[in-house]
Amino acid sequence: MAISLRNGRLGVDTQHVVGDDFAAVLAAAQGGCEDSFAVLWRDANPSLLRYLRVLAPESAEDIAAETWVQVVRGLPRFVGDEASWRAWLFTTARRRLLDQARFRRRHPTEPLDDIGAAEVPASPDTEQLALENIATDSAIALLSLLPRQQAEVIMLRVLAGLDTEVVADMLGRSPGAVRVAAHRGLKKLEELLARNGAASRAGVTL
Amino acid sequence: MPDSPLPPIWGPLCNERDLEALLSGEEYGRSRGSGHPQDLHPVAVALAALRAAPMRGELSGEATARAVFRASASAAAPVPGPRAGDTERGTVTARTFVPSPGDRGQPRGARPSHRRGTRTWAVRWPAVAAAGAVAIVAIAVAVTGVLPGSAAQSHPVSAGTSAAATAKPSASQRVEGGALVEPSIRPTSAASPTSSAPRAAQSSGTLCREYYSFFAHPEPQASQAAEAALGEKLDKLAGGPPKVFTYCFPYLDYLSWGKVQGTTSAAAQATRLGDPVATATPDPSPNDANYGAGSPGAGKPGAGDSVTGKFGAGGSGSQTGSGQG
Repeated sequence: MAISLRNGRLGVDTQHVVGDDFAAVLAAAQGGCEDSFAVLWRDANPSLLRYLRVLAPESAEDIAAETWVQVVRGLPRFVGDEASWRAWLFTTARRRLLDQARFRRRHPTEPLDDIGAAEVPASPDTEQLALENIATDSAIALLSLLPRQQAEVIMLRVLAGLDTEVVADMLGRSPGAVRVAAHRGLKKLEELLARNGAASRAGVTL
Repeated sequence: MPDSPLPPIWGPLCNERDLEALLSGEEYGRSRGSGHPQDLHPVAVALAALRAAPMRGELSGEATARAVFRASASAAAPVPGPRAGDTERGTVTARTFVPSPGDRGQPRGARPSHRRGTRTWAVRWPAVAAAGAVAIVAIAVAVTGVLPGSAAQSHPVSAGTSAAATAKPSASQRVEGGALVEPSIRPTSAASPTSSAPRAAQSSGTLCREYYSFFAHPEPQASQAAEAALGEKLDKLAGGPPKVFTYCFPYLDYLSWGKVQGTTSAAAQATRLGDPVATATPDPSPNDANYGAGSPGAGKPGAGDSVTGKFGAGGSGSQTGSGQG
């Protein structure tokens, strides 16, 4: 899979899809327009899922669903631009993530080790999906190897498109600490890529 | 622009601006001169993969999201206004809990505060009324110094608590009639029986009622000895003859005597007390000097003293207990 270069920018496919029309789309969604809400959902859900897959790979879909339920409830009261919208969305997701982590600590589960791979149900196009998503999945897998806080900072900066100050507010840390965490995470990522040659194995081409 | 120095982990080939551009997805080029340094190229590739176009599985939940949105939108739909027959309370409730069309889309904090106050007052009204009643009772106790009799009433009267009670059962029955019930209030002074000694209080009540029954229903000379014995006991209990009436007042149920006798008139009460002069006398007031401790006219009952100091108002009347009959 090739990553396209559009408008002189690389990797903006999941960012600012709504763009200048965001205010109108948001107003329509707040007024009950389902199609407008779908635009917002298609814009943000991929980034949200990737963020959650790094931090909670086993329950990313569940947390994303809970997040959207909360967002739908609060949508009529939301006021802000697209950056604020993303900040609100990812803040909501992060809170659901923390709730999920607390719940799992109180209710530990046994892993299903005795179920073989052949018994796991698979969709007919699983293999095709794997081929299509290998680059993104590899990147998510690499981010998952980072320390949690560094990975979270990078995901919020890269996927949610939030600046340092907003991320600092979300995480309850100073902007300097967030900046340092991001840089250390990038360095760690670079070391992982250099050591394992993950970029070439992932099939990412420019 | 970043305002903090980078940790020394990247070396001289990379500056903070490059890293910020990498994270924010700004202008990107393959050559070192136009964009990120070559050292960051693998990282840029990985981050670009993170920003790749949505995968198929990432958009599969759109139908579910739409359904959630529809459900939420239908739940938030405006409801019709109150019907013509609705009461005012029902109207307030509906406007309180169901957002009107004008309220949709407003933040909760922007709602008028009077709605919350109306609802709170309606819910808490019984509690406020109960608290007011308790406060009134507390004030009454503080002013009068006595407790309501409902907290400790209906003690059975012991027939053998005193020699006089044993000697004068008929007199006691006549005075109290069928109301062999403890008074509704109890003394709280130091000389008065305390609640920790219900038996003593019961005896005191019996003594007081029997003692003052001699004044209400004069007995022959033979009963004067019992009356004197009762008076002595009450003197000891009350702390002296001047304090006997104050001590016994709570037990006498004075204000209800007329009702016990089947009439509420002052004349009937005065007749029952055996004081014809007091016929037109109003009910005694606790502030009257004749009822207070150490009042000049208060003598030892049953020993030839005037009853005026105990029951008469304004010092009227001069009959003694022994002189009646």
